[in-house]
Amino acid sequence: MVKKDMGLGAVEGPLRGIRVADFSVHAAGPFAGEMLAEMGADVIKVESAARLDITRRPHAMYGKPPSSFEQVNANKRSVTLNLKESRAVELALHLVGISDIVLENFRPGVMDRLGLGYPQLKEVKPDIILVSLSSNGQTGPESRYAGYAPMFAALGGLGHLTGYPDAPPVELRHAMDHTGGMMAAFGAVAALCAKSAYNLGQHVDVSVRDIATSFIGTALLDYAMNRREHFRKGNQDEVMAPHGVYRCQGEDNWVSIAVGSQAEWQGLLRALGQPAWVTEDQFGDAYLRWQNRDALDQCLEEWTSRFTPQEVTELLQQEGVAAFPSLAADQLLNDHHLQTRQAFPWVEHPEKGRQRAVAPPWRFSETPAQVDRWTPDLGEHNLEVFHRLLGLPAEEVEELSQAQVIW
Amino acid sequence: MPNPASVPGGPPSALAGFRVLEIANMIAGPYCGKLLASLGAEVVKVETPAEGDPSRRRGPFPEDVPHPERSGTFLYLNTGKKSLTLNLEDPQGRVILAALMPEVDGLVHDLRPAQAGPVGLDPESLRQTNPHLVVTALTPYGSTGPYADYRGYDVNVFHAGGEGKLLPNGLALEYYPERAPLVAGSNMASYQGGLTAAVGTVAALYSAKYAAKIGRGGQYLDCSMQQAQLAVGYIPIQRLESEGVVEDRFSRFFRIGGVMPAQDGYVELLTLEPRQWQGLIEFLGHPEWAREEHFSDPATYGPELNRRLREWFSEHPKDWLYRQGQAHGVPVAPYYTPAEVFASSQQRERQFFRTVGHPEAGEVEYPGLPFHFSETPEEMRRAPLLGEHNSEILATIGYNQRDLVDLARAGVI
Repeated sequence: MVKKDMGLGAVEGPLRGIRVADFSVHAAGPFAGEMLAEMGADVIKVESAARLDITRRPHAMYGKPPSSFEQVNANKRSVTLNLKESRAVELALHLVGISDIVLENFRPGVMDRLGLGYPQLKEVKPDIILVSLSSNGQTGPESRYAGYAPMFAALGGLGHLTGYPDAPPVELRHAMDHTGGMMAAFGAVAALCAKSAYNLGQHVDVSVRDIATSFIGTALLDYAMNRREHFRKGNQDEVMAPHGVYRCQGEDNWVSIAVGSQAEWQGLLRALGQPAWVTEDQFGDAYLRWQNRDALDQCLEEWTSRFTPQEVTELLQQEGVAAFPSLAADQLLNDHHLQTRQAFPWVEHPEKGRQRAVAPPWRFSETPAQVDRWTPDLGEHNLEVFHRLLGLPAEEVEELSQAQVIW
Repeated sequence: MPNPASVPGGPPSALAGFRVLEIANMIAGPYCGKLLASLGAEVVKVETPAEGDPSRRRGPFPEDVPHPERSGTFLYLNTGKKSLTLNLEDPQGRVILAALMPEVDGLVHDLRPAQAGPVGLDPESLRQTNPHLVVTALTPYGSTGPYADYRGYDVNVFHAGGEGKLLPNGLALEYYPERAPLVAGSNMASYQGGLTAAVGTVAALYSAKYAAKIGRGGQYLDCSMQQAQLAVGYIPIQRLESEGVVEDRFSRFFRIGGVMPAQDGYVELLTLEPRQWQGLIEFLGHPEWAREEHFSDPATYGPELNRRLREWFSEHPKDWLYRQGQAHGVPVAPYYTPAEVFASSQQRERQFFRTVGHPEAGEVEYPGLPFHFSETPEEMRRAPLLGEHNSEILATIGYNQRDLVDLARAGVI
């Protein structure tokens, strides 16, 4: 018997009442699940001791503990299923039967091989939404190639455009993974609208490489229109000057400044006290400023290096000029503005005590999204999900655990 | 139930039936609107009369000849939308805007509180005009707090979110350790902000329309681009909270792999799993310097391994490294230039690029959408001409052709 269960402490978010079976691993896919969970969906992470998620093992780069992944499965429940066992696949399908969305980011073909392909899911739940997130998409000659975050950006063209003009390209890391997850969350929520409107499920195929490409749309339009190649350009802009990151007082202290209009330029000059180096023939209009941007940057940096990033920011923002410090993690956590916005809520950690999490990126006035639990322990909710939610007798859950099916 | 067909006889659209106003310029807000429009929402972009969105002046332009209807930035970021010109500085313009509010389900704007209030787009006024409205305010630092009215372009919000201080790392940092930290290319923070706003907006629209039976209606979403950056870049925060480690660009690099020089550019190499090292060793042809025990101890062997790897990689073309490496199960990928992306067989095979016609810009191949919906297919229709839909939209709130002439003459539309 399927029993009523809204999910542990499900937050009051806009997706309350939605259930997600989350088969995804590593970072990009789980982040999609995390976003849905922070918006109130009951997200059940299906994982296995037979092949631990990378976030539960010592990491090749970070070593242990892999604390950097503590939030990526926040608000979720964890069940274990050893999907090499047919009985485990049966249980997985049973779980799919009471879910609205299935999320996965295996290499294309793996879900089918496990017996959890879209046709099989549709059989148990005709209006199921399957969201597949992958490096290259579900089809095409490179669909089964291996990939990690920096590779998505590299293939998609965004990597080539990131970096100093006279140096190698630069890796985009978790931000790229998580942006993939964010796009998958978009697909999931949009598909929910279609499901509600037409009782229609579907397979949503999200390619992270294509996300990187869609983010360089303007460079590609220039190529399509004019066959012009774009190249990385450090912190400079194609149109704006000054535009960059400038050295400030202190060690490794930097401020970003961008001037987009004549009014903002006038504001900058007021803040600088109308310096003598500003000559009409060199910096008189936007075009001249851009032409002479290297000289301009040098003069500006001479000024910024006399202040802290915070001082520059305040001086310039007062005059309507966009400026902001380049912040590191410790500065972010201590930032007064972010604290006022409750950007780092305290969440109780079972072993480590209270720890600050990063708040969801939206503040909904009526259906608040929030982080209320850290990543669950492996299989923490086996009994709760298999017994109370799916109606399996407790003894059977125990037996299946012994038999390494629920494992 | 809405009409399941966005085009008569065609397949339904996921967001058909939602009508959204967009009051936003340049990239972030417009990217949000573009995503909604791609799934069938009716997105009406409100632009200032005469000039329109400043992205119309940004380019790139065909043959570099500036033209407000031919800017690549505008054309790309506003696919599938309608354009209504409206002067919000003019009281009559604000009357029209207020009259439109009850006709729409959502409003996406990018106005800071100091800008939103004077044109009647503060949360309180909007709630009074339409209590069912989903309002998304996408601003650099959010709509509350001490910096709510601070200005921010892409470079500012990227660095405000913590990611900038972590770039560059690896090879580029070895070249220029003394240089300023970097912004990601191509206004990534703006796209990411727009995407984040789109997720929240659709979730709120879903909740308002389809979860209505449990008493949910309109609401206000305060979406900070700084926090959108933080959300995707939160790992350093977790490391600091758990381990007391402040990551910076000098400590955050892959000891084995990372950016590798190739004969004709660069590739990215990442071997995080033992079977991937094994594949790499095989790919390299089992040289003496690359043994399994080296890969499992990056702290000791990383620097020497990477020196050798870079040497070896630099002797081969990047596409060969990609194909051959992947055939050995090695996660390796080329850094493609825009022209190479444009020609990429994977994306061509998947019909990622779409030819879109436009009365002024002609037919151009656009990068498509990063998702494919099997039952409610995404679509890419051209961007609107400035004010192209004035009469259509104003007719819905009772203005006739004569009124339109008067409004245009008065500079209201």
